[in-house]
Amino acid sequence: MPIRKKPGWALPDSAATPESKFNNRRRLLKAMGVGSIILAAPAVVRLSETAVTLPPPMAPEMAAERAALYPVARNPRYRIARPLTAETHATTYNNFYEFGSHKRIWQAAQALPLSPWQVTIDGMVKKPLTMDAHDLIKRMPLEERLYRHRCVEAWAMTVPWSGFPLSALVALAQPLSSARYLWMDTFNNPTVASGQKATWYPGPYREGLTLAEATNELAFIATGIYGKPMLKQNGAPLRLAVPWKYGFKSVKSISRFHFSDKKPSTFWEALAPREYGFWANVNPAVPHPRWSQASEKLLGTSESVPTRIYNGYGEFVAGLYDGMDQKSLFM
Amino acid sequence: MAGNKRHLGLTLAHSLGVIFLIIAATAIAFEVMPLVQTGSYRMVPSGELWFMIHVGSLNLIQAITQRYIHPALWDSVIATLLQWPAWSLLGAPGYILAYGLPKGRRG
Repeated sequence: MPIRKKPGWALPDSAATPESKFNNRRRLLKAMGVGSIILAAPAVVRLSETAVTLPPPMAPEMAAERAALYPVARNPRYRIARPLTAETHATTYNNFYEFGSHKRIWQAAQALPLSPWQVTIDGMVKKPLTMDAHDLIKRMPLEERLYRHRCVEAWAMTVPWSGFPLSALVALAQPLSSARYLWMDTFNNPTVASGQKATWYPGPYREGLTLAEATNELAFIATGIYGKPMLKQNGAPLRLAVPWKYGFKSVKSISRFHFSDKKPSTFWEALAPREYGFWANVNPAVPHPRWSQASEKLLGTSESVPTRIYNGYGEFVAGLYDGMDQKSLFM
Repeated sequence: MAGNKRHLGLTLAHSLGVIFLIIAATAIAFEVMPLVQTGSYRMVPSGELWFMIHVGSLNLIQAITQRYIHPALWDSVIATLLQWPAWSLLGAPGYILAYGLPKGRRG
């Protein structure tokens, strides 16, 4: 005898609402003015639209000047034993919370205008500065580094970043001796970043490092990727790359560097302190509350490999944390 | 048996309606208290109230909606609704669930 599996949407006739009750409810809804929900109709119509409003294109001479900085010489000190992630994967599978939680960020992020882009360096510094991002980048010692990148979601990639050591920016800023932390904020532009319209979230996205971390040789400000200027979805015009920490620490599209003697309240720490703490150093032995961190999937492959403590960069950074509470360092 | 299930369903719906109404009343209180104290009015969006009550579920629902259903469903519809005053978004369905449904079987 054939077995008919009832689809989930199927309802028996007995479940149908009697016409009289249906009409009563319609009247009730009307009376309560719930028809105002129709106000949301334009939003529903927009649901089918996925097109992104692009900003005016960068002036050709500006784009050319920006592109002319790359490629830069690779620093051989930072070797990796993994193949590079294919460019198409590293540039189309991204997290960028300002534009949402989904994995089509690379499209949504195209709405971000990059020029002009002012970068402010302020707080406990000898002389606060504000300058154009391109002018800042031109003043810095550019090099290429191959870094592993480990996302807290347990995927990983290996990327050639171009940029400069964060220590060079710290030297330019000349922080006061009382400064202990470097706060880094992303842009604030709710007209292009849908996530920033949610005013209840702490914003803009903020991350931070201790000054000891910021001046560690691994801490890097990436301004390019795969030998070209940084793409918007990867954090143009400049983003942090701290490969021993989970990816959410590497704030994108930075517009402000702020030196302080106070630990910043970082974006994810404010939202979920038990899941995304200030330190967020990679450790396979410390699981995320909802999943294991023991292994990582390599982007663009079906390969899963064991995760290493400090993402394999312990020789560079483990000393930063001597004598500290080991438990909080890895969440 | 079917009658019991229906009764249970209606009871749950009524209870949910009452909860919605309580939250809506709380939202009104959040708006009225500063108005009385300082004379300035500030609307409390639904998203802000959700953020205050349970930020984890707000974040999770956003991720599920955007990743597994459609990004625009969140950006264009849900995020728009979350900008509405909490009392209106919860008060209307709360009233319907609490008072608009047929009464369940008593005793």
